[in-house]
Amino acid sequence: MSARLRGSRGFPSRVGLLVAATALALAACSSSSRSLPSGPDSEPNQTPVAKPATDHHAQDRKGMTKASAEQIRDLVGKLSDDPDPLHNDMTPAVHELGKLGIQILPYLEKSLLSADEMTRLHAQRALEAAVNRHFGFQPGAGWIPREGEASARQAFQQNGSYDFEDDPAARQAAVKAWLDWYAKTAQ
Amino acid sequence: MASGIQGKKKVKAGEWEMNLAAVEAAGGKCGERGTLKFTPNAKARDTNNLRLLQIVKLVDASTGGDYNWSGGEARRNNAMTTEDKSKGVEGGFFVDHSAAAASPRSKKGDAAVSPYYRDYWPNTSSSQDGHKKGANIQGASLWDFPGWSQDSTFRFETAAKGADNGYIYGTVKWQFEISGSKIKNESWSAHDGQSATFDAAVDQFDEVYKNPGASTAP
Repeated sequence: MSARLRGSRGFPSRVGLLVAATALALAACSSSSRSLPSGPDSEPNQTPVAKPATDHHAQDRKGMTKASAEQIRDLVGKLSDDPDPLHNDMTPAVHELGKLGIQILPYLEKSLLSADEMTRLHAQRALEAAVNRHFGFQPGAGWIPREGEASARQAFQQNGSYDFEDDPAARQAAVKAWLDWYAKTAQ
Repeated sequence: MASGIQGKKKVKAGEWEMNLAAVEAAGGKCGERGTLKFTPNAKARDTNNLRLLQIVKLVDASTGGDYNWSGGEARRNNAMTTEDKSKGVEGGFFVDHSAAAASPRSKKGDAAVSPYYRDYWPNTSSSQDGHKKGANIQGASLWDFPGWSQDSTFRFETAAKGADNGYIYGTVKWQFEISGSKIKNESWSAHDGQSATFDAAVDQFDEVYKNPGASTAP
């Protein structure tokens, strides 16, 4: 049985939504001793990551508001509340933090280093949601442009590929790398 | 003791690899955590964009009925299939998406709302979209973590679909139950094509989000 095309095919690209981002941002990424594989599998045909960047904050500004520290801390305090039964890594607070973009990164430090595995997982998802948006991810629409995923993937790898299941030293190193990246990128 | 949902099974156009570990927390949440991956074989038709699209049904054992979604995910209730035995459609399945992240289209120029899993949960470090261009083959995968603290049954049908050609390369049905904070009755099967329920769930998704081609489309 073949599937119908309706409503489930590729989506038209939106010109001007995101200038192929990131050479500047990636150049600002802190260095890491880890190598740079392309992802879960090798992706030989993937578009090269580095692209001329004119405004790597464009996506952050789109649809995002400058949140107060109090607002972000409040969401971080609810980070693990009410997880989605279909996606235990996702909570309403993770979703809301992701919307706020990379400004949330400094507030996630304690959660990323928490002794509680689920807290770390939720913090990882908030980190990823914020960084993905920075590189053009729009929940419900995907990557615009599609190449944004490669840029995000490279940024994650260059910043230590934080994984909530990693040993504490690896997590600590990744958190430091992300905070350094944020300090440079947010300037 | 739960063993997780793991292994490999072939279909005509490729192979499914399941790598879901059972998570059992005493008195707490139980679920399955890990990845699903489909890799097309050399005979499969070419696609530049192989993606996974998943439907799901969650039954709350305390009521015997479908889980009632609330808050930002309430629209999932509207996206559920209605049982139609004459067409082989089971009720209560819906496209696995975040309703909190999606809004129905309001005007003709709006982009279609995506039914693809990774357009909501990209999990870039542990999953990817795929392709098959002659001998250049990359599998498509997703990372998932369904689970709950209540007795319940989770059922899924996941399809590998060419987003550019609309072709279904294969599907996998997988399920598990939670009973007394334990995972039970894990099972999975691989298939060449999708079920009538899968098609009905995608149709209902399109109707709810007013996607192009739907009767509700602006």
